[in-house]
Amino acid sequence: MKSKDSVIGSVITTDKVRPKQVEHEGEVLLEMVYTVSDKSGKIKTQKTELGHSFLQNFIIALFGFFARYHCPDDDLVDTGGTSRTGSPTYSTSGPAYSDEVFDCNAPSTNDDFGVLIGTDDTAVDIADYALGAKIIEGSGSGQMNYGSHSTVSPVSDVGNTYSYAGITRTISNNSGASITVKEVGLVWSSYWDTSATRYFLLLREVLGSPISVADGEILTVTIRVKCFC
Amino acid sequence: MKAFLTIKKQNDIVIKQPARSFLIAFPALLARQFMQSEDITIQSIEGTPRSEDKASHMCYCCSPGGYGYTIQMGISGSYGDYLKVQNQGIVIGSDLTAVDPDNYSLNTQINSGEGAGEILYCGTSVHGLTYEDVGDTGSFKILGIFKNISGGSIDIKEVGIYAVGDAGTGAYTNFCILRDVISTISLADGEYLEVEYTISIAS
Repeated sequence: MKSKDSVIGSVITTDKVRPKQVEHEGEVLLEMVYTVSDKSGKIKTQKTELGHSFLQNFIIALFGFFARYHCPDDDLVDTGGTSRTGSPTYSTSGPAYSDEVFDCNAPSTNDDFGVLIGTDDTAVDIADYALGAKIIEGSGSGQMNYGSHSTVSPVSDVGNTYSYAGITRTISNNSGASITVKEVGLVWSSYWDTSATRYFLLLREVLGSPISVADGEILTVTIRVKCFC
Repeated sequence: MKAFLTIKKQNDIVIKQPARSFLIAFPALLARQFMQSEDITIQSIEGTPRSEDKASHMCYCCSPGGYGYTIQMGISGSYGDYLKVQNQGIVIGSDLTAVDPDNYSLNTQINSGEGAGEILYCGTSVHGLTYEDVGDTGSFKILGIFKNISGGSIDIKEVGIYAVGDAGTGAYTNFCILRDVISTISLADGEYLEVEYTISIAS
């Protein structure tokens, strides 16, 4: 059903940037794993950071999904900056009966939702509704090719101190030049207030240190929702 | 994100402490929803592995029946029955075994009822959503109320949250997303207990 995380896969470099000590008993953090590979799949660098930047959209939506039928309408701000008044009842029982609670599984080439990256390092504000400067899909200057997503299966450690699960996405640089990635977000596709699809930013992390992705290289971003106990 | 646990007995605070133990079902439910996928298996509170597809319910833990948002005590009939459910919302138990992130239920749940060793579950509400840009914080509360009318005293040693994680087939599945072992609380006959988790974020 799941595995115990006793061994992390072999990497060339791994470093913990922030926080430096794992002293987060009771907390739910975002363990961000950034892996840069060449076209052959050979890992060049891998870096792990602990983040915590759940946004206002996330806590509102989570409240809604805990309360379900009993949630009053509330405002989420979509990635275009427009406030949308709705509820999870519409989201999950709308015209398509989509069941799309927290759907982040965007297909390849889609840069509207899912794991997205950007080049802005402005500090995270809980009211952020979009990345500061999203890298858009494409092979032109400053663009990257978004791949599909895959699951990070549930894992707990041998010492019984944490568990996690999450989502991962590969993003390729075919722009002809190096691109520096400074921020990562997770965007949810939803019917929140209407039958029109809305996109809401749930998480945003500014990298502890930027990652340079050379032309031809592939960046894999893994977001683990990690619970310490 | 973190949780804070406050427990009142007869309206007096007896426990006030950070909650320690989100269990593996919580990130697993989130990941399943992120991926809209059936390739994540999660153990239900019965210990049964479940791997349903994307769900309309993720962490639904109000008392069912449409009356969970505001707790209503002392309601009889079908509405009262809804509030007495013991597989959804805040739950209480009597075991002190340390938390393991793989726990899929309380170790020894106290059943809802009026018989010996039972405590009446009076419903769970989800309420108090607040968020502010100034302080970069947001939170909401999950409150469960319990009353002992069993005729004897009962010790409470563990608390947790059971949440409905899916209803894709029309059959609810319940998952334990949080469990905390606490200092023993003796609840005498006639006394009531309020167990409240505050879930919060700060960016």
